[in-house]
Amino acid sequence: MKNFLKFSVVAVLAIVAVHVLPEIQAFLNMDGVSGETLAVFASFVSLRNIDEQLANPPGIRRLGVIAVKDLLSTVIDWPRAVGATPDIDLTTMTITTALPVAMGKVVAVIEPADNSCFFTFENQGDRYYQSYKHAMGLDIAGLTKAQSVEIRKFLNTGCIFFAEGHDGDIRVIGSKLSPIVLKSKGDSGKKGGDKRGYVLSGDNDSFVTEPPFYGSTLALPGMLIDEE
Amino acid sequence: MKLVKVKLAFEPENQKPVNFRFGEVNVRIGTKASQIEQQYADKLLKQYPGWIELVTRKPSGKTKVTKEA
Repeated sequence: MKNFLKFSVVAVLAIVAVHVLPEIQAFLNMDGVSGETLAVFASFVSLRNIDEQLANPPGIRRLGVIAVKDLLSTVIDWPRAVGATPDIDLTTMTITTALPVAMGKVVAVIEPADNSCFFTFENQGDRYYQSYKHAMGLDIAGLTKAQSVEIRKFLNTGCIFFAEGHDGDIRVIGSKLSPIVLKSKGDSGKKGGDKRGYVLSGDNDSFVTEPPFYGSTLALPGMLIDEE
Repeated sequence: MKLVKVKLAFEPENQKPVNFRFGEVNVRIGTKASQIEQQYADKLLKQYPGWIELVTRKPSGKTKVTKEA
């Protein structure tokens, strides 16, 4: 009789657990999360090219930059893709938290030489060791004093870049804790027609996502659509 | 489309207005009051607290004088 009672209690508890745990998980917004890991596995749905009759314009029409030193010191990292309060919505790859810049600091606009600005990204590493690498580069035509002064500011300076494509989307390259540090190379040229100027490039790795999109409902201080 | 008056709550280093870009829309705010759509004012107040302030109509300069008994 005692064994039957024990068995009954265990059976009742098991039934309650089966019915109640999913509701607790749903309440905590943890659907699909096992008890062993917090990683949510997203199943494949579809992957295809863009729709027909849509343009697919390559290149960067404008580049914005801010030094990570100009971000709020109270913010440890931005944009974060993981953690308790992520800044990136992984279902849309869009940043949902505005650039946490210190008051009065704004994104500066870089005007690259024609058809020279680009960004790339890749995920690399063996299985279970993969993460993303971000890279970008541009040319600046000229070797003036003013350009020399401005490019000097990039020395050993961590930056976050805002690359605006010809479709208007802005993608964020680098983060506060993994910024892009530009390397610059000047070239005087040798003869007429040579490209006298700077070649700038930078990269960083160990990112959780490819460069995310900056949300169109978020303000971006300082990045103008049309230069004045 | 409701408009509200706002201005920067600080003096910018270069004394130029600050441009806040929302997608394909520029919202430029300087140290003098300017009108912008309320939706952008609400977003700026939330996303960049302390950067701008709403400019409300001051009460009329007339003061009531009451005679002491």
